[in-house]
Amino acid sequence: MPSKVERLDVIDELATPDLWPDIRQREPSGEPEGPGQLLPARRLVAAIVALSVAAAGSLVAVRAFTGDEPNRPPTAPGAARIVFSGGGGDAHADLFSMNPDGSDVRQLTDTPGSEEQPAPSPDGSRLAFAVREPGDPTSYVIGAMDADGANRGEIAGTRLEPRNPVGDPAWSPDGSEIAFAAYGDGGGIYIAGVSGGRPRRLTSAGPPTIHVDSEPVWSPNGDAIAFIRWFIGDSDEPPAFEILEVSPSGGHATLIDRFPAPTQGSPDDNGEVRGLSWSPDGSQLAFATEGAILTIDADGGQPRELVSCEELGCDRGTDVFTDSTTWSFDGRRIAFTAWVNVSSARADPPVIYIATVSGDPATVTSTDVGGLFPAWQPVPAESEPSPSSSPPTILDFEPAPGWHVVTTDPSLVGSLGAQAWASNVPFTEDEESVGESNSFPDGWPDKTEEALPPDGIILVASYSIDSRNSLPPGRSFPERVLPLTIDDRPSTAYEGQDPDRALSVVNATVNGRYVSVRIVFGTGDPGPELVGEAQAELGRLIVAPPPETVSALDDFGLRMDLPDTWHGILFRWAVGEPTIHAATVPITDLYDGSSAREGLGPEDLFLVLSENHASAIHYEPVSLPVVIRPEDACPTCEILDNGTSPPPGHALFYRSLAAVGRQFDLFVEFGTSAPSAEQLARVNEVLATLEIDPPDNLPPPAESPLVAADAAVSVDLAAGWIAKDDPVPSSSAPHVVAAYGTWDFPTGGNCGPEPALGDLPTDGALVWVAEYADPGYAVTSTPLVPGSRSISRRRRLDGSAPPPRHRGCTCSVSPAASSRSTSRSVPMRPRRRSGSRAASSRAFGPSRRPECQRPADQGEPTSRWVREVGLRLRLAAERLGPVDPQAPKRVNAGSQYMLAKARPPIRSERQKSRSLRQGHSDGAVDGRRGSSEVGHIGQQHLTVDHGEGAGGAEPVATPSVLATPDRHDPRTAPCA
Amino acid sequence: MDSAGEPLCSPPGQLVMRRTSRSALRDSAPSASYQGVGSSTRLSVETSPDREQEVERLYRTEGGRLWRAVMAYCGNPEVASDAVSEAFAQVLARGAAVRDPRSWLWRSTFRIAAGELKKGRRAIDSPSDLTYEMPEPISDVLRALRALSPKQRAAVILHDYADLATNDVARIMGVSQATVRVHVSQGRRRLRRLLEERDA
Repeated sequence: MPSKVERLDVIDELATPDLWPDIRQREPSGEPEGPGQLLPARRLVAAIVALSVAAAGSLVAVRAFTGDEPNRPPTAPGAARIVFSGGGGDAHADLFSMNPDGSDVRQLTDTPGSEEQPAPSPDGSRLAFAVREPGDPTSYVIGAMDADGANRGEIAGTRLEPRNPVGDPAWSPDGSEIAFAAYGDGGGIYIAGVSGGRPRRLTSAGPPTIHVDSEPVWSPNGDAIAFIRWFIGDSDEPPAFEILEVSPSGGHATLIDRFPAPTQGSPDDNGEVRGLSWSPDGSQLAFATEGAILTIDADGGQPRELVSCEELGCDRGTDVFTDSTTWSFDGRRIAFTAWVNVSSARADPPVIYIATVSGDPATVTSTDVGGLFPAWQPVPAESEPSPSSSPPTILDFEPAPGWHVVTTDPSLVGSLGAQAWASNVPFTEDEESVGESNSFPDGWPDKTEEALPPDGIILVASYSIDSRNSLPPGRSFPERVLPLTIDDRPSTAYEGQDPDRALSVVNATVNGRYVSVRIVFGTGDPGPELVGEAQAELGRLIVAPPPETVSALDDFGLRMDLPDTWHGILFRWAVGEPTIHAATVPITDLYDGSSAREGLGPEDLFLVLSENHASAIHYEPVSLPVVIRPEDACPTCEILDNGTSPPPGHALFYRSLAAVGRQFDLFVEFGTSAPSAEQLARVNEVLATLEIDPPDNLPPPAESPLVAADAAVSVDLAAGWIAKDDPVPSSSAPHVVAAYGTWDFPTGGNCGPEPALGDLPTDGALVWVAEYADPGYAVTSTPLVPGSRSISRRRRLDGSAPPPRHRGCTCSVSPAASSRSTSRSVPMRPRRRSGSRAASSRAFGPSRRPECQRPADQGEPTSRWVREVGLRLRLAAERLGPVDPQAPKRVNAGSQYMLAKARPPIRSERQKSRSLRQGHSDGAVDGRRGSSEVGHIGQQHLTVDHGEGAGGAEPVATPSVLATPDRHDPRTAPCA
Repeated sequence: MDSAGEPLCSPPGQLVMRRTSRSALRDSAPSASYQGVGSSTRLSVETSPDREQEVERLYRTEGGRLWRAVMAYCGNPEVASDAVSEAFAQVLARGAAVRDPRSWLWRSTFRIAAGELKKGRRAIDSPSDLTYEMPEPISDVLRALRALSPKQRAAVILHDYADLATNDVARIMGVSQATVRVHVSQGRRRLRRLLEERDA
């Protein structure tokens, strides 16, 4: 193209009148709008309005696009969409896509430059398009990107030397090449490889032959390219538009048809032929000319009018501009752009229409969506659910310009739960690669979060529970419909939270699925705009349709029949084990059933049967049917170790059972302190219906890679100390894992170390290690045994002090005792324990506050302590015995998840990012993802008890391995 | 965390989508504007003071260049003034129904002017008909422009003088972008030759 004629700029020197006064006074002339002369655009509006009452004419809107349905399920299999460029006449066109009926319009690009003429790759996964950078009207190149707007780049081979504007990209049927048109002196039809290489020129335009070639389109079998040649005319021949065909390998172009063009210089040259497309069967070509849509056999012949100009309104004194035909893949429909009333001052933006080819005459409908260059696009394969190979995506975000989305590998969803991440900054490469790192529950974009700019946003959506029963609304998971909204202001008030990372949490039951979304902002004080941006992305969250629900308790290889008056649900946390809640009262939450349990009347009961894959606990082998016996009463037990023993007036029964190769914890709580034999019988009747399938289709219990089952907790003991491993094998809280004493202490009992403590000699000391769901509760302020004195109930294993806010819970520790106890550390090796599943019952929910003496204003007291102890223990464990890197990093469905659940959304400084990301899923610490022992470690707790007068005889548990310096100054010990 | 507080923001609007949706036009235009369909030669949309200010601002920033462009296109200041005035008056009258007044004005002004030329009502047959006084360099350029075909002229003026993008020019002219490029290319070549001839 010759360069611009600079002298045109003198036009700027024209004296220009001020017309404003005239404009204000002026009565716009307008065209008469009599009934018979309705402008098509207005007629269209009228037709839409009249649609409900009258049979519409041939030109009706099939669907008025409504903007209030942003969330739809992923496009159905086999569906296709239409990509197009829009922008409403803006100087910077952007790309959009929509369903063929005009619904679900999505914007794919949002740039100051211009993207037009989208050309989908054969599989629909990529789009090529003509690009113009802002400020450079001649900088047309061919760009390409994923169908959702990601991975944008340029087709290198389309950048010609010398620089020519290029456009009209068309993807070859095998996806390897792109044909395009170049304009100007080097113009013609070119083909460039998608992955690079020099382009090859098929035709040449310009002198000496005076013609312009444009709009190359591949035949479906890829062996021909049709294009439009504008023969500009010379002394011998009048101007014409031609449709020609050329082989992709080059050679002579053959004529398909020729249309005489209006004489050059006519003010109206709408004889232009444009918008060429090939039918999917290769037999026909469609094109637009003179306000109509025509088809012609690919080997020539007489064109047929598919859509007449009159049908689009040009018989009513208006003219119509048509362009850009594109065939649906079944060949039955052609989408095109029509711009009615184009020459009038009233011209409206071009609108995409659909003509149905089959049927006579063709039916024309408007999609009611404005746009140019429509192109039918196969729905990319990866978004088509393939039932055989990959399960459907449970969580996803609709693609939006500028946002990046990572979803859990669908093949992991079944075992790990699902996550979907979205961020307005790119995720780091490793975090984008699909795997467990972006799976529930451990997945969190740590690195992306760390580098999050102040205007950055990350959304992490997690799906956590698997159930075909209808889920009860949880206390933190109210039933909601999409789009979700950010209800709580982004806050940095969470304990230990990075002040530069505000957090919002949205929990909801959506489509019968529990979904938790954490929204992290790159600033501590996001403005309304940023929050709005996050809200918009939250609005694009996709949650799979509800699973097919069943009312029977029959899933996961478990069956139980309930009387009509009972309520029950059988569910499994996404990373967890099957659990049955059954009760004579409605079940209103799944955390620990506490809301239902609190409402138990004297005749009511609440039953929990929860599978436990832990291998280190002693489960009582039983044969079905299992029964609850009077001796199973365990007043100090806690349902699933949730930190709450039954309230006064209630009775709790507990049995562990191993049957058919599977292990279960069975709890039954009665609304009376003395359930009658009839009440027990009632339960046993229901239990009699319990059927358990062998575990062949269930994951085997995960072996901890960290410690063998028999390792338990070990300490290098000094002389005079006695170790008794697992002295209370089947106890409930506290679960004593190991005890070390200075005398031959008794073990056994059901409910703790009381037998040993009862015999504690005055110069004796007992160190016992127990698991607690909630140390704030389990460690009470009164010595367990009168006469004994606990000197360290809540020691951090690195010797530092418990957080001051916990002092209210540790006030039984005297300074003097503390000064001794804190001077040593007890090396210990954790092991998996059944108690680790404790907190699952509180999954996602606010934890039950312990009943300990704690000022009311101290906030969340307990879980942080659990976490910190867990962390220290874990660090200790690492020092003791590093995890074998070769060991399979399996995810135990049980214990890991439990700690996660135990944890309400508070966070310590060093665990900020993890707690942010997990909230309810804290199993992973320091990259040790997927290991099963973490949660269980987190619930082990160290307690040292001394006998009376132990002040002079310090216990000598040797700090042999865990050589953490004591950073704690005992004089500042808590609870002085 | 799940407090049922006031949402910070409303559910996401679909502004992006509305840019391409004609339904947005219906949404934004007062219904009164459609009651007039078929019964009136004028749209019955009230022009709000805000709207008038906005249009005036547009006129002050864009009107001069638009007038000069259309003047260069049609060669007749009366036609140019009429087209510009009519287009702006239409924008005022149509109110919010015109979503992108700037594009709309360029398109309308050129179409009105082209219509006038087409009708021959006020066509100018020769440069001598120009009664409008202007410096010689300008009249030279205008005369050279008049030697181009109307499409070439429109394409060159819109693309090279008004600095509109090819797609905008295509929409104003009602032709494809390929055609615009051809018109621009040929028009430039011809214009340059004409001006060189004249200089010689």
